Amino acid sequence: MTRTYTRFELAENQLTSAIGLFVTGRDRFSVITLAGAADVLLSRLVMNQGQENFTQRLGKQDAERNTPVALAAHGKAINDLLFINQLKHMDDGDDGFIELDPEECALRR
Amino acid sequence: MSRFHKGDIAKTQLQTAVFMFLEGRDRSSVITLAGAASGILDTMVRRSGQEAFLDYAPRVYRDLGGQMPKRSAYLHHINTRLGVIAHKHLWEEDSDTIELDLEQKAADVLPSQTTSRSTVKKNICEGIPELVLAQPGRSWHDGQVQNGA
Repeated sequence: MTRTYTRFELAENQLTSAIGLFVTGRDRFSVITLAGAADVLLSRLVMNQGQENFTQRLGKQDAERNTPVALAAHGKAINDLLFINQLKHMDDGDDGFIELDPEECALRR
Repeated sequence: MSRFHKGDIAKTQLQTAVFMFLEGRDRSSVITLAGAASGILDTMVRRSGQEAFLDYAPRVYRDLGGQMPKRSAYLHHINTRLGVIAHKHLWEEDSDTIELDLEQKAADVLPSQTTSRSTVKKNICEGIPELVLAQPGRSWHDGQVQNGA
């Protein structure tokens, strides 16, 4: 049945699942993917409220240290660090292998 | 630090999606996980010389009288139609709410990843209950796709 959902609900659903999977010791890759998707929605919602999200806060700290980094670069660095995109994309030139610590990435996510 | 192949990662996420679907758990998560697996499986299927869903479905659309949509346009269309994009992207101009049939989209997104006959997908689907694999495919081609959009 079609109904209206707030974007927050969609993020909340996924984040709740991610936490549920994590605390029950299930698949860490799914924890990372779900938390990553929720993060994208929540970050935008925070910005829409006129508040500062995590990425913006990092950018501000860099600017205060006179080492400004573009926000997009910050976002990409976080995604790369936690392998967010690697868990949902495979490019044509990709050999398909990645090295990561799923437990650590899931916990940090 | 461990080394993983993305095929195994896709399989794991897809199995989690199927598990959550069959257990009646959150449909948003089913959609996101199946969508993530799709982003990996699509490339693996094509590399194996098989026809991926994203090549098959546009061909059906064309054969039914439509134009052959570009692959990227069809990918966007399918991900929008299945609710994948709504669960992982949000732009400034988007509204705060969205109308979705989460149950239907979750039911649709799984067969799109599990019903291919390709060898790669067969291997990936090992361990996924036959109940899910047996679900009939849906009419993916009945929406409007802008050629070259």
